[in-house]
Amino acid sequence: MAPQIITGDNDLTPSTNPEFKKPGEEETTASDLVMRDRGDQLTNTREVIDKIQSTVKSTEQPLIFRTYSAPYIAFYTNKLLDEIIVDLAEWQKNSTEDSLVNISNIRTILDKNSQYLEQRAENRILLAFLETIFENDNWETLKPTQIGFIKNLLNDFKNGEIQGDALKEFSRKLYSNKVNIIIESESKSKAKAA
Amino acid sequence: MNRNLKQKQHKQSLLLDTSVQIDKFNPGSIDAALRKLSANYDLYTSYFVKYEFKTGFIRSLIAFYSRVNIDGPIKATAKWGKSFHPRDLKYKAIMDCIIAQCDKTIYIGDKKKYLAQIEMVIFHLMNNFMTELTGIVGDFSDDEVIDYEILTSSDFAEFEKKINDRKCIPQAGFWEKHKIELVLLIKDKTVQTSKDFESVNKYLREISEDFKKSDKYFHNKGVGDVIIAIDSPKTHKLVSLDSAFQTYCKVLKKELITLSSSYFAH
Repeated sequence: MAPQIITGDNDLTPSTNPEFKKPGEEETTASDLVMRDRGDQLTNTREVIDKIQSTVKSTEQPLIFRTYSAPYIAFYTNKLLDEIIVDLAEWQKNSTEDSLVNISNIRTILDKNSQYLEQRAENRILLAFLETIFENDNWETLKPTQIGFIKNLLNDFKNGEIQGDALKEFSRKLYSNKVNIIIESESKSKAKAA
Repeated sequence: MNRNLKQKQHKQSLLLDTSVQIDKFNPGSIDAALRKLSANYDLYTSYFVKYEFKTGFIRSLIAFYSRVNIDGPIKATAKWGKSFHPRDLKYKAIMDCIIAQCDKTIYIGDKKKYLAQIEMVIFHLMNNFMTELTGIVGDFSDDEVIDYEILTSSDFAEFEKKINDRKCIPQAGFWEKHKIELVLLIKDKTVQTSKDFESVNKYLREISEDFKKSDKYFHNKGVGDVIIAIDSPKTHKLVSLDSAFQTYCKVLKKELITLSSSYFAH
């Protein structure tokens, strides 16, 4: 199964994707009523939606699909990996409860850097993998050996030891690691139930 | 002016323990009463109390901050309520009160704003730890965890690293210096026989046999109150919300004020 690419909040814009809808954009019934009560000369919901959308577009940061140069992406991917590897090393060394700040740092790094990571196929796979740490609360059940495994793979990726086709294998390894996490947690809960 | 100085010199000194230092931030709890006490007494705390305050209260809020960043405010709050120690729930309740007092609204639906509010509370707590106090006394000055300044969220990781790298505050030197008090405590009948002091008694006995044992995790954490009582100067009355100090202070011949709502009624 191909890995699922998890995209960040800022990957698609209303102009590039016609299906793009921001949360709450169509939930304007209440606003519609309020505006009518205020005596605005808006006669139908469509007009209200248009007005709100135009306000949202004009006040928000411009949602630009920026293009980053290859050296920029390479430099910042390495920097990002260095930071994540440090956090993973701390996490591996201490318990999850004692590593919440490090795990939180990884979350922040991914949130801040998803835009340029999504511009290259191999980085998209990297991002997708790192996001799986947070899916279904996986981060709460990861064991030190699994954290070490992730850290080593990221090191290999950073050092260029995993490239091109090997990256898919890298991705597969990561996902199989995730499967192990699920199997282990399931067998644990079965043992508990028994 | 000389008379004022003289009056100031004759003021008695109180040493506030960790429970008081935490509860003074709980709006409507003992904060107003402490302000009244500060008119009649010089209030102090100790370095060890600051250590417990930072590694207990502050660290708990940093953990909550991290969970909010990882899971979002609602999920983090739900998990916090289910799986954490009652002490952590109390700390969060105090945090919520402070946010409500400062901001009127708790932005639980907005991760960024909520994180900013938690960060603001942590700054507030660190910044006002010494409010109403005249000074800080006792052993454990120059400890890197106690000295480390936490001003913004960018300081959280380094603070956690300092705690994780060491886990315990080095106590062997303290017990070496206070071995007489240690012997007095382990010879006391109440400490020896009461169920309430069972684990403390065990830890103290083992520490008396080998001071290095005080740097083992459970020994280190288990004797915090005893350290506060011993570390409090004889010239200071110890102030606590915890009645366990009555036994320690009796043995150590130190004065104690146990705060309760009735104390302030008089």
